[in-house]
Amino acid sequence: MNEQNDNSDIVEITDKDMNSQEVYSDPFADKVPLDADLIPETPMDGTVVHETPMEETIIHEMPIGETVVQETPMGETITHEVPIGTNAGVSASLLNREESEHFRTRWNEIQGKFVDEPRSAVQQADALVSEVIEQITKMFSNEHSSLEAQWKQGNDVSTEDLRKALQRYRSFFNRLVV
Amino acid sequence: MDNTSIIIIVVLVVVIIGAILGLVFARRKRSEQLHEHFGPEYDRTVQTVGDEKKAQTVLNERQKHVETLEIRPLSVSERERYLADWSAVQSKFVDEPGQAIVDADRLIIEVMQIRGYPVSDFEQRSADISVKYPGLVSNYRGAREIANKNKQQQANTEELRQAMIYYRSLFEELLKPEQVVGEEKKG
Repeated sequence: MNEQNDNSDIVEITDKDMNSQEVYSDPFADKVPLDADLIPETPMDGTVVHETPMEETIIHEMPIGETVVQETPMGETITHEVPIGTNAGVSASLLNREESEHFRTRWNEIQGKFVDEPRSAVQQADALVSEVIEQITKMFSNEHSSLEAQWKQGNDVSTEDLRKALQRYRSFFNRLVV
Repeated sequence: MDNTSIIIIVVLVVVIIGAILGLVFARRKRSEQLHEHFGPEYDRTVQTVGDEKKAQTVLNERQKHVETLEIRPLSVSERERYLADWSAVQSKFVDEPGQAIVDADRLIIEVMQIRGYPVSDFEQRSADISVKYPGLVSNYRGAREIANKNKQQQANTEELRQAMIYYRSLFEELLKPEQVVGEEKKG
């Protein structure tokens, strides 16, 4: 029977679907770096990865354009230059990994709840999206102050600083406008 | 006629009446038991076959059939896997409600098959379910109806959501570790 033959596919289909939902259902999701990091490390269980604080801080706190020391999961220490410019726009999420995971977990809970309580699920989704937007706004105002410091120094500001400031704005812009 | 003959006749009559009463009582008790066990399914079967006696035969046969099956509970890891699968299907509903109920139906068949039920056709499945989970067979049928409606693109989202809830009520029972037959599931 048809039903029988297809049974084995159910799990795969739904799993894939879950993953793709995670990516596409959240307009603020950072598609490239987070997921790309997850796959090679622990393909079976994504949650484990979120507990690696080293990586988290590096990705989100590293000042663009500066040289940082990155500790790889293997324990090997490497030094590299963070690329300035176009790559910067896609190399960081708007939210840090912890926040993203937190929001994502909540999103998944809401989505799973829809079947039982559609109305309340929608209400909660509304609240969650507002919260995410608020968080991003907060993040921008922080970034904004530091950016301003870079280019609002009267007439002394060098073209090079302005160029870097513009790149940082672009980075932020790119993360907002995908 | 001597006294002995009269006594024998009286005793015989009493015994025969007693036997007849016993039979009637036993049959009534059996029918009560069936009614109690199957609940609304009992009335439904009577309606379908059109005769209470025939319905009782049908239900008796269902019970006998299930007794011949070797039903096993799921292992802990199987249960966990299916719980996760169910969550995934339920989440999927938001994007593809129709496909989600198809998947939910398949998950039920899969679990039934693993546990040792013959899953060849819907009638067989629902008959077995009516024995093991009499209170839930109407949900299973209800979900099936909506699923069929959905195949003709006639089911709306709310109906599909209801089907998910119907399926889940059965799915959860199928996943439970111990077998509770009938008694606690009426209503």
